Amino acid sequence: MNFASENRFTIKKLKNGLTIKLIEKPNFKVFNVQLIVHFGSSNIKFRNNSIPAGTAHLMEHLLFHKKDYEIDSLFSQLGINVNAYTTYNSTDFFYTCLKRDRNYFQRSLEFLFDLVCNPYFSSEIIFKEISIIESEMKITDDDSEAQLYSKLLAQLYPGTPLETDILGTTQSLKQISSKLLQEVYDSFYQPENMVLYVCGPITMEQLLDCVEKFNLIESPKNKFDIDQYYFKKVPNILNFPHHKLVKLFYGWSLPQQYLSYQEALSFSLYLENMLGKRSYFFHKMYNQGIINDDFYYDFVVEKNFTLIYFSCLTELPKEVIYNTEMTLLSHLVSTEKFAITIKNFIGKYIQSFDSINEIAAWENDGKYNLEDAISSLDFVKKLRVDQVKETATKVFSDYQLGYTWKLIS
Amino acid sequence: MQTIRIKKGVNFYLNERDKFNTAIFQVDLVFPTNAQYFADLNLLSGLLKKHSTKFKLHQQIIDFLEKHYGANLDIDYDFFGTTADFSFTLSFVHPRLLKDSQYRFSDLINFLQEIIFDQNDRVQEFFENEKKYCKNILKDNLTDPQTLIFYQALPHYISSNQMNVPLSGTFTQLNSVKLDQVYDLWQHLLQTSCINIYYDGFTLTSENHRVIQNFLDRFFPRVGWDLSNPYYVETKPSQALIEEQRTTFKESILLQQYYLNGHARYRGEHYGAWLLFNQIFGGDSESFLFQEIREKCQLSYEVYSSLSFGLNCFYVYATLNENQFELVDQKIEDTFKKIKENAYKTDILKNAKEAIKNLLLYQNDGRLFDLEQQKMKFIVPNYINNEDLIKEIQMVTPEDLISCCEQIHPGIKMWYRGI
Repeated sequence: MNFASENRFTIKKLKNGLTIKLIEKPNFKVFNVQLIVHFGSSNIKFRNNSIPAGTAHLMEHLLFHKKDYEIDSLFSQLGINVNAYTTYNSTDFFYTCLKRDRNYFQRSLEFLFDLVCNPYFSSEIIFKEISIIESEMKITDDDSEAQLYSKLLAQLYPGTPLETDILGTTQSLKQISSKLLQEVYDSFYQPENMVLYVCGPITMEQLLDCVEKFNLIESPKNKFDIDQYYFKKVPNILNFPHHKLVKLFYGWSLPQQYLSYQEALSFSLYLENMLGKRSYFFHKMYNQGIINDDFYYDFVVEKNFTLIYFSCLTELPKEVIYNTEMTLLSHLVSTEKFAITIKNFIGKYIQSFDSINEIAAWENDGKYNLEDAISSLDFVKKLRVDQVKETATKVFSDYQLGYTWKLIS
Repeated sequence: MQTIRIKKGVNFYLNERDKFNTAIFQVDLVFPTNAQYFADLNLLSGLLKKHSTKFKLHQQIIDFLEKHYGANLDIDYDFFGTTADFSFTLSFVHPRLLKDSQYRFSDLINFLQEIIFDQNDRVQEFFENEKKYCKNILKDNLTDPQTLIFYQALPHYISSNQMNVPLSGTFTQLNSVKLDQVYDLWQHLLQTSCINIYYDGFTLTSENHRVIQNFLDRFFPRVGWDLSNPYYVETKPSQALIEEQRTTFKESILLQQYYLNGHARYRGEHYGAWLLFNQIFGGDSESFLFQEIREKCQLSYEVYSSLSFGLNCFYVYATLNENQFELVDQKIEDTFKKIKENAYKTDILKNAKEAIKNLLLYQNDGRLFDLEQQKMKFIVPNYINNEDLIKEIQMVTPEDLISCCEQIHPGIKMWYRGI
């Protein structure tokens, strides 16, 4: 198999602290480029000061404003549409572009670093951008999936930044001044706290040649502690409208803050085997008309919390939650079926390297990143059922249920 | 890509490339349809997906997965204007990457024909479940403000061929469909559809060619539809102003729909001009609408324009504060004026051309794009492919955009006030 040679992964740390990660795809004609800053909505402290909720997201918006030129117009000259998003732990600025000459790619990188490294925080622009974010808040409020997920996190992690939406609140945004933004920017937006991720037809040598021309200033190396969020143990009383169609979000927060990548991967395979679309659980619940094809789950391992959550439309939410929990606790994994789950994982993993966007998703997948993912193949091939059961027992030993729902009809 | 016409209505597309990690084998059944069958087709699609793959043939799927890494079967129902298709796609890891994943082509064919021709005796049992599910999904979709406003606009379309209903079918249509109707429809489609077969990432041996020929002779011994009917829907938005106070949503929404008079056709003549017109009007973050309404005036977080060739309309969608409808309305009018009067820098058109060119070239590198493009060439008469479209776009002038403006006429204006 020549999979590894076709997807060469290299990582390099520059003197100024910037980490560069590259997946070489010599046959591709496009690039995926991301500049990831490890600053998100759960970063609420710096130098013993507190950061109002929504600061990271507002910062992301504001970086697109420059004093006397428009950054969008620069990218537009290259026909590139640049965008960004904020998560609990990072802010990601990204674009895709075509393979042309070296100068074209070099200029696109130059504009990206300009976007992220040259802030301009004026009171007038802050005021205007907050009004845009208030409009964005209304859209999020009307998005039932986003609302149900936020409420689930708020229920499971009260008193933590997860209780508040990434966008912040109208009140918290009012507390943000240009001075505060500049101080927060100076602390978090430094090369040491950033990763440049590139996937495409370029070698590390060529990439370094492009990046080293930017002369990024080496800033003081601040250490940022990541607060760990633990769920609060509370008894659950399941309360739903009788025989009404609801959109249900439910899940269990888990205490394993130090779950290794291999343990997390083993548990994901356990979940797929027990609750995936080809599982006994899904067939049984579908045959009884309790759930349908919209049922899905996600295993979220962030730097500061771990959670499994599920979503479905149902008239019998109590039955869905009960059956899911019983299935998770059963540990009934057949060797034969598990071999297929593994084979399917390996296949999907290899196929994902056909898409630069899917490869990029490995880098942005919460706590773990591309270097972890690259090791998946060898590990999964050797994985045994007893190891998976053991991991499942460990991971799903202490947990807290949370649930939210929206009445559909 | 090599195209082999096997007989009338049956095409075979072969691509022996090994650039990608995935190999694909796909069979499409393509047929003309209209809104009368939307609910039937929605239910049929659900039954094919679930009952074939998850129930009766479950063991065959498991066997197949055991043999082939990452093997996956997707059954999709797509709709383009007055033409629809069911596609059955098998994808798995390319044989060059995993030595222990060898297969015989005849296995794929056998596997696929069992799914396509499965006559599941448990369908009756699941039919009502599926019907309930389709209605539940429709209800859930309508809790999304954007979906709801488009759904509520549909009855205000004037349509000579009744195409102004959602592709899922309406609640009334879904309630009235009987299992026998769906089953008869499937039998009819099997007898009459055009067949496209895509074989991507493999080597075609004479043995494999023979297997395909046998498959077609055995199961499709008929002539497919003549699909030379133009991709055209006789539908246009009426001139109406609908103002409503919503009680369940926070955001206020403006949806302005215009009908396209004359030459607007998907991938038809002047398609490049239409793409550019939309791009500079409200197509991306550099467009007039985005720059004026969001960046300069902060009236809206989300504002964009788009072309719907299915509904024969151009529309502008914006979320905004409840008292700014007139202001945004005026900004939209100003944008038309700016294009009509050619009152913008030449760089704007140049940059928009570059952006669309990039988008088209980017699509070209996508794993499934070649397959999609072959399908559309077959369905859409005089289909302009990406390479020709890129050339056409370079030739578009400001006068062409003025001509687009002249083809656009006011239709439905919807103002929904949030809580």
